[in-house]
Amino acid sequence: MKLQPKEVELLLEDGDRIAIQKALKDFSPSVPLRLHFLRTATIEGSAPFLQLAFARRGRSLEAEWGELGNLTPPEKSETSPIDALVIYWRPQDLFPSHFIRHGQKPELKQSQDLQPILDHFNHLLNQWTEWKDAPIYIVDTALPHLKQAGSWSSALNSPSVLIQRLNLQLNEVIASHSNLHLIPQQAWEMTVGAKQLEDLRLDLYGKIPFSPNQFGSWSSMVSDAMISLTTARRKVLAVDADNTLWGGVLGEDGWAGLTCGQAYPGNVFLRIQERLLSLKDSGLLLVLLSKNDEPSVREAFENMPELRLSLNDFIEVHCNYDEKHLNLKLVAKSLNLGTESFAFFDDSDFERQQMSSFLPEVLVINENPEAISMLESLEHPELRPHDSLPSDTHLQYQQRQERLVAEESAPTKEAFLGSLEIHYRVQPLNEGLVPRAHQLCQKTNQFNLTTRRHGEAQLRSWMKDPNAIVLLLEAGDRFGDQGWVALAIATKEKSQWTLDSFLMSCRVLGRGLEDALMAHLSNTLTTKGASSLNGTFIPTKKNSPCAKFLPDFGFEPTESNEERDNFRLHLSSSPLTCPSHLKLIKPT
Amino acid sequence: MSPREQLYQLMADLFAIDASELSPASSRESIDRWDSMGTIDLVAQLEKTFSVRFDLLEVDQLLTLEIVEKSLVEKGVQF
Repeated sequence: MKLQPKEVELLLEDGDRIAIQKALKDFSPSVPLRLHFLRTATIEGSAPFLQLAFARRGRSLEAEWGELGNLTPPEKSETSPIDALVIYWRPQDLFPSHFIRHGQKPELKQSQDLQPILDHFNHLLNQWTEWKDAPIYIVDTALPHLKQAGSWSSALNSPSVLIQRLNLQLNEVIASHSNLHLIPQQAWEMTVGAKQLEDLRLDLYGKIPFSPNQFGSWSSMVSDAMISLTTARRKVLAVDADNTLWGGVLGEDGWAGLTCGQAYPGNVFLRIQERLLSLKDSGLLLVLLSKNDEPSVREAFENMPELRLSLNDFIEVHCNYDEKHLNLKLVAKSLNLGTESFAFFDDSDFERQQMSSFLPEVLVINENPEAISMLESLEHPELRPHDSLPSDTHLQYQQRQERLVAEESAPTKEAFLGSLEIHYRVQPLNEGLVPRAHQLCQKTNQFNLTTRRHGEAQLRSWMKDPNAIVLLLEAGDRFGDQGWVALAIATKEKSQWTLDSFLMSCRVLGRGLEDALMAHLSNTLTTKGASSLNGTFIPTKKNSPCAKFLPDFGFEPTESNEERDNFRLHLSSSPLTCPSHLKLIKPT
Repeated sequence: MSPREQLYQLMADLFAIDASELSPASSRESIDRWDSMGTIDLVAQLEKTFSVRFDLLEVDQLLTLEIVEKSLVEKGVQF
């Protein structure tokens, strides 16, 4: 019997080890997730809880536990690479004398007394930032639960000041290193509460950092913090209007009767709008699906200055009386996205149930119509951004819609492409481009010949390897810049070059940019003396848009099997030029 | 279920063995998973199930099922 996600949540929240062990017997996903844990306290008792927390995301946890107290990252393993490193540290384990003896040394009252500790911590942080074999997830830290001597003192060298400074140092390093991520231990401890967490007996007996009754809740928080390893972020949130964006029903109350503003009860809807706006700024697309007529909805947005959102914040607006799942499918088609990329936010029980039964792949984020619980549901982990790279997704899709209009009005495809004034440049991978190259490898599904999810460490090693070429393409047109949108990787083995990866963001499909990138790669290879390039197409459920790319480009089929189609391009016999409607801009 | 049956079932579930294999003499030596980590899991589970609390110095004395039962009796659980 397979457990429903909600049942798993409840089991984790309840934290009963025996119930968890029983549940795990019926719940074993096949895709492994290898995590290596470094720790200063005994958290391995949480293993079955972590297993269940990751199982609900379709991953089977294989945990490796380093030696207790050793925070040095492991040597790289060629045979069994890990998916991520998790670091659990507590300041009282790293700097015990400062915590235990604090208060007995009245002469130590200055903030500079903390400097040796901060320097030591900085040394640890450097060790972690230099390690690039896998993403690293690190907990921040909360005050020790018990009022240990001096913990709550206001002296500038007290443990509470120390903890704030350690967390600040940690956050600054995480913000500037794309490989490092935060596990919000402090926020979790505040949510659960010191009285629930504290168990000094078990801490003294076996360095158990908090009550085992909370292992389930902790594991749930940790797997949420690591969601980018296991689950794709939803791309679009379809939002209802009445009793969702504002209080009241437009069709009955008129716009003047709606509530949204600083005062109760409109303040909760204002909060909802603010949260939606920040999700939009982080790259989530918003769509409005409202059972109202469009002129009334426009009138409401125009006449209510207190609304935080404007209609322009929605990439598409569908106001009509059709069933919402039909409208959602129209939006999916128009944005060229699968319905599995959508989430749905609506106060109506009927609408949510109807959406779930017609399109079960759409994530319904709120469980009930209660406004506060709707606001809280916007913190759903599948809506969170996976990285801190700047996002202009909304603008990109807006420009895409404008291009579609231009395409419809152009007499021929060539005339349309010419009118776009497309420009591009190609550049070898450098350190500044590694995060974007990594993101492209992780996210690109449709135009991706081999779907190899290379990590940052692998990309960096190719950067310095004379037997590898990694090229990125940046493009723009008269509607705006599209940024770095395509990546090609070729590697050489025994004098033969092979196309390891070739991928392009689906939002620039159909402009000939893939031909330009392949032409540049071929020219680079020719200058290196290569005579041919092997290419492979590995079909997946999603990458059919590039199935014909290699033969269309002039690659000839070689031996193939069920899993892959192999090709070869003869470089000397194929002088390659870029499509004429593209304008090359030299790298700056 | 009587408290004794409850205790035996708890031990069996926690350490993944059959309840019929357990006796008062079952100990840390005879049960594979009953190591120091297992003791912590056991304490947490006993406290939850029987609404009792073990002292720090008692924890390491829980070496056999007989001792576990005895300390529960001392804490007012009626077997």
